Amino acid sequence: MQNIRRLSQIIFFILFLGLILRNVFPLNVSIPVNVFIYIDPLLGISTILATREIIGWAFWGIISIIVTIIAGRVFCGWVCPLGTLSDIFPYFIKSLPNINKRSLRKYKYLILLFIIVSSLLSFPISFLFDPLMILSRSFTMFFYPVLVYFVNLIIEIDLISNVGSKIATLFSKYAILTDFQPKYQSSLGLTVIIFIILFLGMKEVRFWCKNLCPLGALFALFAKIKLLKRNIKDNCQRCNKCVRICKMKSIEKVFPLIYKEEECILCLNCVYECPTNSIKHKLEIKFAKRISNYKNIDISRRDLINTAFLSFLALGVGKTDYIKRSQYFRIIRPPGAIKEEEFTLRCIRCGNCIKICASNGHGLQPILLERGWEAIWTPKLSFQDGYCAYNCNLCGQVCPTKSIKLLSKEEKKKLKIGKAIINKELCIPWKEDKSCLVCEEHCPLPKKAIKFKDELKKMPTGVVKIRRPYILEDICTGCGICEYKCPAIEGAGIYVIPRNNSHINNLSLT
Amino acid sequence: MKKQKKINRREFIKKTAKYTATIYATISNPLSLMAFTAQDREKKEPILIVAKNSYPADLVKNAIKVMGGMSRFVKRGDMVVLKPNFSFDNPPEYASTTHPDLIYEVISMCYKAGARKVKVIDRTCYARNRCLEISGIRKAVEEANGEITYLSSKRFIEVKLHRAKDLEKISIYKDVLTADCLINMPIAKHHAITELTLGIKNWMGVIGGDRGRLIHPNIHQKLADICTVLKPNLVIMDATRILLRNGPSGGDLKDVKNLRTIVVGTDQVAVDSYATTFFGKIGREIEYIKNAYLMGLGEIDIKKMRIIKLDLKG
Repeated sequence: MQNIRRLSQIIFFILFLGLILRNVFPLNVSIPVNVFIYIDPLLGISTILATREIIGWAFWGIISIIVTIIAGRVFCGWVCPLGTLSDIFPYFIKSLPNINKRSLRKYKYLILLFIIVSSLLSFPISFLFDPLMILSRSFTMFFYPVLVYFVNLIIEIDLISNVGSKIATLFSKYAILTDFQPKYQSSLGLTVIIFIILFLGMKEVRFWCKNLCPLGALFALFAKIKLLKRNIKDNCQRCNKCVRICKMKSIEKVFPLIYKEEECILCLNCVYECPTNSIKHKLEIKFAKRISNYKNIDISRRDLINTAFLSFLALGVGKTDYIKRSQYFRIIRPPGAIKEEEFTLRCIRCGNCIKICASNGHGLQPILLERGWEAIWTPKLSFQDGYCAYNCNLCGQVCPTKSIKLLSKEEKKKLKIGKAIINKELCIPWKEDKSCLVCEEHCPLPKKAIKFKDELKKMPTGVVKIRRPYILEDICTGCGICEYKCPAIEGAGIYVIPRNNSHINNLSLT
Repeated sequence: MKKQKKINRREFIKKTAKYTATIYATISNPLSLMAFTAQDREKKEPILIVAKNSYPADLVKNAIKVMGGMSRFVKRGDMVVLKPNFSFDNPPEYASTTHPDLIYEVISMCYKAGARKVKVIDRTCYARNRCLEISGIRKAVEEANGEITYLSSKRFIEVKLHRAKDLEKISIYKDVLTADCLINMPIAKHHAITELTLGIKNWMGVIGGDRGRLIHPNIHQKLADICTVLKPNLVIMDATRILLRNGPSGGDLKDVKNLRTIVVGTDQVAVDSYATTFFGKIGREIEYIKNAYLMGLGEIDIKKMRIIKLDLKG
């Protein structure tokens, strides 16, 4: 049975990473890429509380909760990819310390409370602590670019170029490799928490799951009344092996039995390592009695009040930090983004839009503090490292929370998210009297938004015809490919500014 | 009895000098060998086959037949490199990319002539997977058992241009330089910078580095310079449908004209010069073609070409 558990962990891990890897053009996946997000009840609850609406996809989280009521924190032990990482990682360390600070257990409930209160205060901070989002973001913006780099490195070693080209063809067929190296700002910053989690896992097995994970805490609340009971037969020799082996240290004492059901992730170590085979998990349909056990969760009233207070403090920090007006207005959201206040509430920073954009124009980047702490890591368009592909509407297709609306291709092509402006001090034909027009060449509109005037200039070598570009403002959609491809060295001779910022009209920034 | 060809002293000295120079060039830079040997090829009247009025596969089959068959260009065991245009993400009917059926047919003919492998190369303007899928070229190449070459940044080789007027050196993809048979398969389109983009402009898709900075200033001379080292064994110009306006990306079917024509030849300047007539122009009006002609890289005057027209009445 343990092997089935490990198999389950591996399958869900591969599924999780595989869905992210296959989140590329042309999006030929039989399973929706958002399936893990939909079944995550923490994200659903915090979004419902923050937006005060009935969120359709959030109801899939009920499946996870039902499973937890039946069997306890199976999600943590059999499904969660971060749990799988936590289990694999110890194999890379020599000795496994046996520390277990019970007093830290309460923090996961406090973090959960912090998230719930913050969500009620319209500052849904679940994205920061949810394990699936942490892993999803970091994989998309840190590990995947590193993977692409190393695969390219292998392919480019000329000695094994035959093997290299075969690898390249294989990856190209499944569109796993992007054309060019994906790069993201603050990629290390949003990955650091994974390293912290793994580092803490070196000190104590599954430290994150025991002490910090709010999703684990949410499941623990329901696992308290689970139907799958742990039975110990009479031939138990009280050797205490199960106490030592339990990954979550949920068995505190064998006799008299102190067993914390809410911590048990069903790793089944106790069942298989018991020398007398005394332990069995059995399904019993009676849970009314268990409600009295809720007293066992060791949180004091003081802790609760402190946490609620911290939530208010966080709200204050989140909503009153200094934002430069110029930075604020320069943000161009993905095409189809809903209005800004709603966008910051709904976006769970999963990284899906950013991931799929990498295989089309690579225009989307996570922002930092340009719009304050509450908008950290939400996506914006940056034309320094990419652009918004004209014929593409994929970000709206993969956004799980519909923060980016699904637009049809025709709607998307008509949408004007910005407009291009020529900087005549930097643009080569305007400043240096040399021919260029790379911007016009790449402009994707069927009727180009960049036109040119022919000017005749007298040069020492003779009369030269220079083609100088200008923008047709009425049709430019602000896709940014002109800024991306502009060869002017000192700075982009043509750049895109945002427009149609009707989604921020309701905000006053005075 | 065979008639002995008389060689006079001047010709003898010329030929010896040329071969010595070739050997020296080979020793100093093996890859510029291509530049020296290629120029001897077409001293006579360049031959162009213009096939029209049928579907792409039929056009190219007949045109190549009249050219002498694919085995004239592809020998058994050859590594063939095709350079079509799949730089944009529009479906084939928008005339931004080479017709996939044309590519399919050419790959098949190469294999029939005994090619060891057919590689398809282009360094795209837009995102590569988008372009390959939407243009239909990935499917065509895979069905024909060709290989869409993954472009590795390390395989661009710097080549010195000795006969060039502006460009001193250029980096070209290694597989293109080492190909046994190089076939250029451009599509005829309008282009704001060079008026038209035809075969010679198509070479920009095998060039490494920052093409915007390296090539676009003085592009009309630089394109001609590139032709001193890039000489295809065969040019198959896709004019089955051409883009009349708003090139090279296109996107409006109203700008597309269905010509159902292809032009096949071995003189890339001549093929480009002839193709300008589809847009109501002549070769001399297009600056880069004129520059290439002035450097002796091919024929520009239609009257000096031998044009064989095939009307397939399909």
